[in-house]
Amino acid sequence: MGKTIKLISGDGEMFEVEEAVAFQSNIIKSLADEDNADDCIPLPRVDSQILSKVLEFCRKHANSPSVHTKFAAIPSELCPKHDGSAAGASSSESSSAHSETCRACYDAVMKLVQWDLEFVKVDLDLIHHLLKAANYLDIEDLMFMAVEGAANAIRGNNPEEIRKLFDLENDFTPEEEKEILKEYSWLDDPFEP
Amino acid sequence: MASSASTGTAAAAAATGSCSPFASLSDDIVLNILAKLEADPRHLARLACVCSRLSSLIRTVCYRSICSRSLPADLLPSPTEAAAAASSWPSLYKLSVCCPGLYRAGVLLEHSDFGLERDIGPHLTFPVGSSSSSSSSSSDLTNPVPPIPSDAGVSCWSLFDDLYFDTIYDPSEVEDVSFVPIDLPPGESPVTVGSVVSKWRKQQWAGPTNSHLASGLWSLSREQGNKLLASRFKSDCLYICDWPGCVHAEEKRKYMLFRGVFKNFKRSRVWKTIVDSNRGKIELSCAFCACRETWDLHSAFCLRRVFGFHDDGEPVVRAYVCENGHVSGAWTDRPLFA
Repeated sequence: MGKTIKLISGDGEMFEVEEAVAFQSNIIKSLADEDNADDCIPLPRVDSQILSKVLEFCRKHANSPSVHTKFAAIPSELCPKHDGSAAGASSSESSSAHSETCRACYDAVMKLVQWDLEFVKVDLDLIHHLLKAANYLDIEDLMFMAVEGAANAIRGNNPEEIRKLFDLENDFTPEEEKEILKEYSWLDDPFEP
Repeated sequence: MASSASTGTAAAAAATGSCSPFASLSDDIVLNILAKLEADPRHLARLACVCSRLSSLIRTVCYRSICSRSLPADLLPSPTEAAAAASSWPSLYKLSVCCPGLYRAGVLLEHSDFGLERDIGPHLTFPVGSSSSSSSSSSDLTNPVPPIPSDAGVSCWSLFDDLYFDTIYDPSEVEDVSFVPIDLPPGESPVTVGSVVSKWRKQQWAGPTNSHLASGLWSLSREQGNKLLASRFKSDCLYICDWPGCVHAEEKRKYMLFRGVFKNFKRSRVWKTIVDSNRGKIELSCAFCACRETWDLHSAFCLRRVFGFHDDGEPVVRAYVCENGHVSGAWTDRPLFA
């Protein structure tokens, strides 16, 4: 095991993870970079259940570059098939060219995307915690996927269903509601004028 | 408020005291989610109906962001105007994605409404053999009518009659059943600008007649606008959606519905023309704002004259503009036999 980082959740549980895993979080990375002898990083705003989920995501993404926020590109040195034998520098341009043509890389990216989509097929309560944790810890890919999870729950649902799912209150006044419904009457598809 | 139905962690660490976890998310995170839903306008529209916070975020931030990316730069309010133009983003967005439908594009109006009746007077029938004295009037009208021509065998009013009597202008003749006169101060011109009650075609329509999400590209261009207006209006900035707009195939013909907007409408030549000619508005509400009446650009001679009529009297193209410069209209394929 390489260099590890110790994280303490809000409810006092300790998690020890590899640097590559923990450094998915820009916050943890910058905290660890500060020269303090104590390598225990407290995360008071994230409890253990959420942190464990976050770390599960980070573990999966530790050895892949960001597949969502930047163009999906696996540098050739990480390619499972080519073992760094591909020529050229690992600039993002040559990496994307590599993964465009390399079937193994393409499959790896697709698999990761599929895994991510499954990861966010969870109840909205967990999504909401993941959103807050990803924001707090500044984990781009996790934020990207948690946002996608929330968006998925919205797509295809009408306003009342969305209110129920997200536990939101209809706080329009009757006049406002009338205006809003009139403004968005094009949402329906009536055949009479 | 109803207690949260969500289970899972008590979220002691994350709760901020609000019953609804999602209500406690910061605007940044919510905007991230909203950005994911831009591809289909219906998602944001449904969200805008959920609660006031989402409505406000969508209508001010999201619509502004989308319009700034998808619409021509000169159509957008300048940065200095943008703050004041906050209320215009929803209209601008709606113009880009929402088809006015057959109803608000005026397709449902009777062909006879097509300017002809307003320009040359209504189609009136008179009892045969009525005296030529102007004091005798038909029971429909509350005011005296001009005398009918001497060939009393003709029982309907023809174009000839109107042209003939054009020189004998009787102010009271503008008041008739299809106009709703407005009160004028004494001494004012009797040519009133009133509302014309629209007459609707009685026929079955295959497609949606009300506003709906437009098919085709969701953007506007000035080039299209230039194709519509008569050449003397070429300095006016009219932006119209790309051809063919939202296509509605009906039984008799196909309608290519379009929507658009004039930039600085009140400073345009079209506006001046409408105002100077004292044109009456039609009771056809705008699809994009609260205006309940619009002007018919075809009968105001603002459209290119090359667009004629089909043999059943339907115009090849029609367009209606509201006081805010929003335009709704329909192209049809030109008749094969010119």
